[in-house]
Amino acid sequence: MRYKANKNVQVGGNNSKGEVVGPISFKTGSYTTTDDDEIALLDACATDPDNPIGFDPKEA
Amino acid sequence: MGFTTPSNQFIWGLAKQTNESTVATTEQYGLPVYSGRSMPVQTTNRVEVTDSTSLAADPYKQGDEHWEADVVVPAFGAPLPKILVGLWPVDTVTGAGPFTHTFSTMGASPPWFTTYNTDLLAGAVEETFEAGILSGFSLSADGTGGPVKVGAKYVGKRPTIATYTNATPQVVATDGYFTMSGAVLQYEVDSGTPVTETNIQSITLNVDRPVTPVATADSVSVGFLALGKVEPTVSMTLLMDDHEAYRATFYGAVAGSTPSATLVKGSVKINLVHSITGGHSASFTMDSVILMAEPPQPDPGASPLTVTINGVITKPASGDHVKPVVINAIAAVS
Repeated sequence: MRYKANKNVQVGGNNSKGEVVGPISFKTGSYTTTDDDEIALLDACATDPDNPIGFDPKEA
Repeated sequence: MGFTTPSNQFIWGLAKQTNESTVATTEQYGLPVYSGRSMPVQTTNRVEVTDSTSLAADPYKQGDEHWEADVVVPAFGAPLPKILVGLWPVDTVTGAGPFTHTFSTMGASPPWFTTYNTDLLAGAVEETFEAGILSGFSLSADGTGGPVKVGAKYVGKRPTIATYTNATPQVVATDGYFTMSGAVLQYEVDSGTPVTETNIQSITLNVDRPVTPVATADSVSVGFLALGKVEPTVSMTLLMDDHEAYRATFYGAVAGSTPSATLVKGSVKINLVHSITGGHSASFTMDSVILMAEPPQPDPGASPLTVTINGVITKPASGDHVKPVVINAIAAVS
């Protein structure tokens, strides 16, 4: 999955076991991952209208 | 003549673990407390059997030893995100300094924490409390000013006597703290857009998630924690200035006049300013809150007339029930 951010963003969280996920940095504006934990974290961000991270329509 | 051991020499420590089994051996933050500490908890019972001489049988320990913490600390700027991430696990950081921490996914699977009791008994016993979950967060302040008081409750799996590396403790005078004095407090009884009000005498935000330690037949200390549902509430004591909340509560609208089944939804936003650093702040936005007013109490003592509001925070159109944002000097995600 490919995600984008319109500014310098880093995000961190954890997976369903409480294991740390990230931090993920968007210094280049976009981020591509196939890691399930990162996808879950970034999906939660991308579906939150208050979060600067979104889905990148230029899917890799 | 010797000195007694003072009870005030105490710093409570906190660290976020990378996973359940990796106990943190270095404090990430050391915090002076208003009250509370981490403590082992266990249950003992007498064996409930009959006895020919009518004597109670000897006790035994249940297999439920675990630890709990219920601390109240000043709202220091740097450690606050480390507490918040226990109930809002995603920390999105923007900015190049100061850094804006936006917390989200309230109630999602939480991270694990280690806590520490430092300095009591002059360092003779270093206790590490491992694999804990944040079971409650509170934020409160009133007209007495000073630091906002942050309550943090943890329930964890196992206490141990184990050495660890201390963090430099937070200091009120030099690190500063978040306060409501000089900040903007906002609420609106019947709208999702809160407006600035100046009649809030005291306010408390609570976000609770019951955590139950679960013993098994072979356990000595618990290996499992059961997570309950997250419930956010806010309560306020208002200096009485109008009957809007009262009428909305009992009559279905701020101008209502007959009993109504309607639950009127309003909003609350708590803004905090920093005592030292002007660019640092914190806010807690609640876009949808049912503000239930109690009838004001008459008082022969002629005290100021107040109204107590108990707010049930409900799901907003988007995002979390409570949306915390902290602006501080910490670049890293919590």
